[in-house]
Amino acid sequence: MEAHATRVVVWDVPVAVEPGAAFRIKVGVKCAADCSSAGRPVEIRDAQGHVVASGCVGEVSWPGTSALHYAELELRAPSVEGLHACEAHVAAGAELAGGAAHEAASTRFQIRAARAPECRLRVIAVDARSHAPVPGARVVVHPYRALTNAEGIAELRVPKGAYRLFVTGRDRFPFRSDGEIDADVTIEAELDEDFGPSDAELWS
Amino acid sequence: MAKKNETVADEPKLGDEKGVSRRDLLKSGAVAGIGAAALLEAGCTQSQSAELAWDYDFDVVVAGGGCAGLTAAIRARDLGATVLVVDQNFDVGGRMIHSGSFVSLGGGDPLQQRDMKGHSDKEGFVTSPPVEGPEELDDSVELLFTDITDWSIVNRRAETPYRYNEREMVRAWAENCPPTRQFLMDNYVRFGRINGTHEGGGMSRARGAVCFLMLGDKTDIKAGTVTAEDAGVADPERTSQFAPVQMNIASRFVQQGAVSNGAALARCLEFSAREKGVQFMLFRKFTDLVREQPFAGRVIGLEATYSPRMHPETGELMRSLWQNGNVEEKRDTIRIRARKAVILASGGHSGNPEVRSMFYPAMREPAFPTSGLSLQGPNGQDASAMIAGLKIGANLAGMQQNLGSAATYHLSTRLGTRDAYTDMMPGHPTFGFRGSAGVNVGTAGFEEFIAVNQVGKRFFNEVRLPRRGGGGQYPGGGVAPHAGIEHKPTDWRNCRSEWIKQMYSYEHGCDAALAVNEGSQAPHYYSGPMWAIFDQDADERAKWELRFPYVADNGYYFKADTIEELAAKIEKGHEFQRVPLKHLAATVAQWNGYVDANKDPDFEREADAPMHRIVKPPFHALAIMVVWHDSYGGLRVNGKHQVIDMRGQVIPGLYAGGEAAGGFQKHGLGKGHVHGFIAGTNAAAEPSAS
Repeated sequence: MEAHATRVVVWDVPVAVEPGAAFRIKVGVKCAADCSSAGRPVEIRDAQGHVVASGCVGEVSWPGTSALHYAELELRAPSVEGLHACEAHVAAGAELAGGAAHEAASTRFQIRAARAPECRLRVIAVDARSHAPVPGARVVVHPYRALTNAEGIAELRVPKGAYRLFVTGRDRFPFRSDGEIDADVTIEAELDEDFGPSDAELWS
Repeated sequence: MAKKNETVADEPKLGDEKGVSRRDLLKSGAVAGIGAAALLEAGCTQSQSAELAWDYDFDVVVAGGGCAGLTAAIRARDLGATVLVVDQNFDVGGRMIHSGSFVSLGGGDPLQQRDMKGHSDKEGFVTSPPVEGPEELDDSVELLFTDITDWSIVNRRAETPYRYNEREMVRAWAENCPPTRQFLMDNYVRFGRINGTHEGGGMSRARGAVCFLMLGDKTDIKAGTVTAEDAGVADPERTSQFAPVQMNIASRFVQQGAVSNGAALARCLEFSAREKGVQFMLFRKFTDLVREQPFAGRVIGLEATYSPRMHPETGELMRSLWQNGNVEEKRDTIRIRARKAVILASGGHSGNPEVRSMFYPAMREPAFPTSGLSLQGPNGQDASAMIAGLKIGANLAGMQQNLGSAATYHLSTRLGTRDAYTDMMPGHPTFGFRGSAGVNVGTAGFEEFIAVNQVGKRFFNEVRLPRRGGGGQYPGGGVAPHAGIEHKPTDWRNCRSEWIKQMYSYEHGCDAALAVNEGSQAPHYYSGPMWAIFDQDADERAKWELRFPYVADNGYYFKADTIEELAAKIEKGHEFQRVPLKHLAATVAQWNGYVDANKDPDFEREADAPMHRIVKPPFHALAIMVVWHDSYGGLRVNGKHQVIDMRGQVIPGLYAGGEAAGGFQKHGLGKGHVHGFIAGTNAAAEPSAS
């Protein structure tokens, strides 16, 4: 009998971690034929192929999925700043009662090791017309991300130097600001509504 | 489900209802409702010229019950003609009933004059102040005609919306705008305040307004009221048969408690038509014209076939909201005599992929239907007028104008439904054909996903994908150097090349979506379906409603534990997914690398909006649709809306209007109503064949 394919999914990898700091990720394993993957061992290997974390996926499926079993693993960020390639690997599984085995599988992901940024960027998101605060807007200075609070305010720590700020939200056109930062700064982001033609306008 | 076919029969077809002979009908009459006296007692007569047998006999026969057809029918009836409207659908209203009801006319029409004076309507419903100032409403037929023949206007897509309009036809249109506005108001149509102008309606003045009804305890056209249930405002997830699309709050243009959309226009006209004795033969698809000789003589009638629509859940024949005046007829093909004239108002060709492909071969792709597919059914916008007209020697006009409007083919921001151009919800009998209402993510929502083609590859910067450009109507800011009443018609500076370079803003995302890709196969090289691919994080960020009635298990939304599983589900479950999405997993992995690096070397998305990883299960796919809405090419007509043949001669007894007629690049209802008014006026004045 042909072995069942295995799929591996990795998520909840932080956008940046200080060099050497510990952090946690999730690794999910799925049999393409919907067999339970509970108990299958998973490994995280660094770019040199060294195993840096390992565990077994649990009995419970990840919420919203039919049979994606997952493990939460702790890793330590590399000591050198930069993007580091890693691989999540699942070994071939034991034969099933009917004779089918499960294939080995792996997937790649990256870890960004970066020192704590020096500057505080405070963003106040407001509606461009009314100047009312916009809560829940996304504030992004790659790779750092935050959401505005009820007052439309979010704070990020970003490194000195050139930056590109985006502030976006549901039914809002992206606000973009490029600049240099070398100290704490506050930026007001005026967000325009997404005023594309309505169905009613087009249907008329 | 029909699978991987080039065309999909998505509705039940006539079964054992066929086979009733003409002789049987002539014995029975088979007529219901009022106005039966308009039918001949025996149901037929003999054409003196061709010895033809007729099943029905009217002065004026109108093909199509939409904005042009209903207006023409009422107008001809007002002038004393007996009138029959044949329509392929189960209910009256065409696409008008689906619309926003924004009727853009002008030329100093009665509504412009009312708002200039700050007056209310005769019933006193309109108590909100005018939206436009008197100087913005100070219009004339001459100014309107100048506007709609203005060679100098170029829109943000570098298209020229007025330059190629047929001059005799649009002159007649401009002259008939004021009486048509009055005609509509005399037939229970109530307009709110004028607010701007519709695409193609001119750059110099404000000319458009929506139609409204007032919320009330009962739906009463004469009183101008509609219940909240009928208006679709009682429950955000319900519509009604009265209004297939939920009505909009119109307080700004009328007063508190006013609601607007095409139902406030279509139902009022339908009510008036039935009240005046216009008769309707529904489920009757117009197929051919009957002319005295193949390419000569008068048009003396038409042939039409039975086109029943069965309820998608019950399987029973659907019924129109109102039945008074309906002519019940189930024979397969019948012939209807028109003693004065036939008026073709059966819509355009946007629902016929073979016809529309003459303008854009990529739009032969059957995966992308016309707007309002569920409501109109498979025979809607099928080019029937053009096809029948060509058979008897008619000429065409304005065919290139299909490529001059942002509303023809475009990429919809409503995802996850095949019928992506409407707000119809459960409650309307045809919702079952739609299956899901879709998720309108807006243009901003395209930040949340990657868009892939039928093999799972990205093809364009997603953030720019839905941007359309276009424009070219009042107030016109940014299209011409001066906007509003400062605009200068026919000024060469409007299209100076330096200006065009400055204001051009069309993104070609829709064209990239329709391009040949590695899944395209001979002979048609279809581009295939497109998919928005995103993860659970995106769903949580955007807070989209990924549940019924917005999405359903109908092949336009999929959810899976892994990307590979998502690709397999799409291939198995989508009716037009002809090839595997073999690149999808690699595309997502590559995208996640781009996000980490904050650099998208393929489409430079990092310049336009944040990029988000697609990593957190479950994973989702929503279908992205290209919609062909209205069509612009059609039968050539003169100022009376008589159809013209290939030699420039009038085809006696044949009129056309709305999207069945070509040569006027004006979007929306204003065109069709005036066409219908002109055609109805002149058709009724034709001598009656004995």
